[in-house]
Amino acid sequence: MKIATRLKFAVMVPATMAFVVGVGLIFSYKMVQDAQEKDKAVQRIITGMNELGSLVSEYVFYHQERPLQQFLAEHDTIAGLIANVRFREKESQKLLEDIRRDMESMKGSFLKLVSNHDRYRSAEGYRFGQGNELFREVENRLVGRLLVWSRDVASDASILERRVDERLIATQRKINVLIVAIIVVATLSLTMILKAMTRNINRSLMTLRRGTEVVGAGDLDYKIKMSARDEIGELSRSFDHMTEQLQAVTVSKNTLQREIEERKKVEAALLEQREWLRVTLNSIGDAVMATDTEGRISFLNPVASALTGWPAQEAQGRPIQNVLRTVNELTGDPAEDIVKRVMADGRIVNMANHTALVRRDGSRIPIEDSAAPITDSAGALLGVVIVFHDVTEKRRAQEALRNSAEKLRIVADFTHDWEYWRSPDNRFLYVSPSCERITGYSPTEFVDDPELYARIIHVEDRQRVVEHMKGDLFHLDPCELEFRIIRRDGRECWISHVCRPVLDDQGNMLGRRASNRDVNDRKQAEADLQRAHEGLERKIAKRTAELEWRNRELQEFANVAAHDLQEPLRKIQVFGDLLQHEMSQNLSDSARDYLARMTGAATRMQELIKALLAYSRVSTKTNPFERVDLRHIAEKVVDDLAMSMEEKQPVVEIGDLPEIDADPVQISQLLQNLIVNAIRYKKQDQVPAVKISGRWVKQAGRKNKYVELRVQDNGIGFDMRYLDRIFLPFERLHGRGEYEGTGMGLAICRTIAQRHGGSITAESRPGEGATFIVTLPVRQAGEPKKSGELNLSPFSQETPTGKKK
Amino acid sequence: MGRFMIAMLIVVGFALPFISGCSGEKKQDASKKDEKVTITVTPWPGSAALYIAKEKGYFKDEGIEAILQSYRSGHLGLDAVLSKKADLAAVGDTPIARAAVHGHSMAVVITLCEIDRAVLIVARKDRGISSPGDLRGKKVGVVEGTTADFFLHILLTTSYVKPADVNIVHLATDDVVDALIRGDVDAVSTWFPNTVVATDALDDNGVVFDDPSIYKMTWNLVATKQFAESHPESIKRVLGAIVRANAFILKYPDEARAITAKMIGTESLYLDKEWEGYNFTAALNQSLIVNLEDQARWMIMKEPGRAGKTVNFMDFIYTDGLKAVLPEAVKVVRR
Repeated sequence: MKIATRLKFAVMVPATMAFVVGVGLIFSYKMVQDAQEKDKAVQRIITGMNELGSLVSEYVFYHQERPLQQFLAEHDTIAGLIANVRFREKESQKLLEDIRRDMESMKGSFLKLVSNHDRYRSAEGYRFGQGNELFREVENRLVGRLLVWSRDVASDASILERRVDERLIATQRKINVLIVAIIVVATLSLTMILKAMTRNINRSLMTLRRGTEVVGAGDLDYKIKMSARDEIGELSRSFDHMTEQLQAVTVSKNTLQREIEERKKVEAALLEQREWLRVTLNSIGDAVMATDTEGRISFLNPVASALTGWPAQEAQGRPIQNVLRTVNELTGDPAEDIVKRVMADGRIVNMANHTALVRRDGSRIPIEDSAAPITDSAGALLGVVIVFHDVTEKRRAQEALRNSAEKLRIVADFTHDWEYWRSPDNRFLYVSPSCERITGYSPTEFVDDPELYARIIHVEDRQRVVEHMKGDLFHLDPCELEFRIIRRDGRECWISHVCRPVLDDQGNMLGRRASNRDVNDRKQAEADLQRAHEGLERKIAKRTAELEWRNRELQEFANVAAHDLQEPLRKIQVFGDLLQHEMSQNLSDSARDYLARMTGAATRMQELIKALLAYSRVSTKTNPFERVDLRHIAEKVVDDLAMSMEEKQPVVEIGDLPEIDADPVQISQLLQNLIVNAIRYKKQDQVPAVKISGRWVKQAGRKNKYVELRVQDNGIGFDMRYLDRIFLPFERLHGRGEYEGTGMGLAICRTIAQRHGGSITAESRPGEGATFIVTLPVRQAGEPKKSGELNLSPFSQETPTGKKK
Repeated sequence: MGRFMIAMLIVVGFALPFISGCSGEKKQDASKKDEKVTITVTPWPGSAALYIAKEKGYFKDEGIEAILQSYRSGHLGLDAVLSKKADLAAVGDTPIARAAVHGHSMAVVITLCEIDRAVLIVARKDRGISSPGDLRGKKVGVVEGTTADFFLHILLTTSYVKPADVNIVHLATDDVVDALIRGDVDAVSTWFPNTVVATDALDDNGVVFDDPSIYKMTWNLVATKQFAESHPESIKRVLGAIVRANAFILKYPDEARAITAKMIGTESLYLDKEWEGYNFTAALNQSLIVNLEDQARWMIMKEPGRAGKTVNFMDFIYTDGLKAVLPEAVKVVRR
């Protein structure tokens, strides 16, 4: 919005305000005028009523014509006045209507009053006689009515007058408030408009001033770029246009300054580049020389200077041939002038091999060099640049390498095994001479015909070997293989093949290096050994079967013997008991003692026989291995022992125990024996405490996993020097009188452990309890070997029918 | 410019209340408790303000539970108030004057309306009656002691007919119309709706005499003096409701007529012509006192021994209530 427009708008606000105030004042004036007129009318009515009241009184007193006529005239005047007045408010208009109605009634009553008087004065009135009272009554009533009408009209008129005044005051108050509000609003709005305008104008002027200062300082590129659409905005745009015009005609100082700076920058860049080139050339490890188009030296770097023996300043400007003198290293003849050749051919030329540089002092250095033309951007020849370097060390390294390769070749050629190097594309890079001895074919034949290798492999092994050669070519691990070949002479020959990858310094695959050894003799020996082994096994199996048969016979015998032995023992016991019960009174003390000892010995004999039977059955009466929960078995054992061990009130703690492949009956027996021992060999006056725990263990040299079962007690313990004895049958460390038992429990445990492929041992100190450690495999492949590990039992085993043999 | 507009709006918003000024009805005082007030009404247009105040809930707004008891005529309602069966009675000026002359202490709290042609004389043409003078020697039925009785007297006297020359027959309110129709009387002095029923019944045989210049009836609300003095707050609240009802009548005459017709139990069209003669004043005018005195004199004159003694009717006007509600409506000169 333009400033002029804004100002107009700002001017309009007070103008509008003035207009509204004026309208308000006019309205107010009109209202006041109207109210004044109404007030005047009401005043007139009041005055008129007073007048009418007076006139009524006058007429009543004097009954004259004048008050009558005046009453009628005044009444008509007031009635006419009332008819011409209208109030907008309903209440006021109603009051006016009441006044009008009362005025009508008043006139009626007055006329009746006049008529009454006329009637009284006429003959009719006199004729009434006593009608005087009637006329008086009528007159009194009518006068009373007239007074009432007059009073009511006056009262209503007063109310009306008051309402007019109140309305006028209210209206004036409203108008005053309106005027004040308009003034306030207009003032505020005007103030805000002007304030905003002032701020905008100031801001624009500041921007303009800043722009003029910048441009005045010489920067013709500066643009004020004011977006305002007002006069100041137009001024700024005109200013910018003026600046552009000025810039177009006059060179801007800034532009000049910029051009100068640009040029300086370019020069500096050129200098920097030249210096970089000089440093680079001087830093290059090779010798660099440059000539002009006439072959005169224009540049010589320090390496060239050192190699040629010519300082740069001395060489500068000399013909190149004087400084760079080259000869054939072998013949000593002068080498080709490559500078001339470059100038003639206009392309890069390399020196011939075996070129030597003849230094200033006459010494010679083998060099490799090349020359190239120096051309400008148009392609015109500016000179020649020659680059060369000393290859003395390189020659020496090559010689050393050649010598080393030769040595390696001699080593490889004289290995006993057939060595070769196969490339990634399956060609033979090297084949040792031993291949001829092993295969009958020469190395050259393999190199020339890589497929020969596959062809000489025995047909039964060929696929395996070919697949190996294809699949394992890029395998990084060494691999071993054994296969047969058919020699040239048709004989089979076993080959032990080992190969591994060949990698360079960067890890790139260069092929595979293999070593093939003739193992025919070894194979033959292995076959002989295998045959001998098989024969031996046959013998062992036969022997084992015989032993098993004998074992069974012995176990049967033991079973029958134990059973036959038990019979007389039972009789001894029964008759002994009978004697004790029936004849004890008749026996002497010593006889009773002998009897008791006899029955006790018989009982012990029975127990021993039972224990031996149990021991024998460990190996003979077995169940197949199955998956058993050791914890479950331990809990069952403890539960079964609860009754028999109740007296001793042991505390048994069972830890987490795993599942293993085992004979559930025998494992149960093993745990029972160990727990019974732990409780039996308790300390005096101490509650026996047994702790059963297990853990996984790995045994060295064995693939299978093992479980270590531990049964720990707080009993009397034992001396570890008796460790081996306690697992032998019938071995006891304490007398029968101290602790009961047959001495077979631990032997049975050991047999069970061994049958499962495990072992049992113990740790203890006297008085500090004992820990029995049973190690069992987790998995069972089959029944463990019985020969060499089994204790052959003298007891027989039961036949399948249950009969003793 | 956006901020400018906002500022303008704020300023105008502040100014608006001053410009518009206060308006609207006054708030009702929520603290007023409902109080039971029994008011007797006569089912005719004069009771319009009471009907409207009840119908529009103005009594309720004032905390008054108004119970309107309907009576056939005002004097019966006044009897109910005097016998303490009601608190306020809507009644004409004649029964008030009679009760005052008979020594009852009352207080007129407001004149509900003034009626020009409240009472009419309805006569039978077939009895040779065509003007008030023809009533000489005729039987004229009227309810004794009512405004109709007073109006008959003043109409006769202003028509120069001695009341003694007319055979005045006192009738019960319900019998007035029937007596005229039956021919038991030659004319009756009565009020709406009897006037309408009688004129409709007589049709062309009927003639009506009235004279607004000789009498304007006031229809008033009256209580015993004891009640007015012991229940000034109740009086004020009742009057507040009546003043609002009067403003409603003025603003919505058609609806006021319809409500009144419904409450009376008649058709609204019957009230259309009647309504013109009713001036719903809601005031206390000097003319009330003049009326009461005029009628008291008539009673004393009519029955000197029986009527009682003259009274100062200034003592029968209770202005405190109306002064508190609408001071300008109190036009009675007080000492």
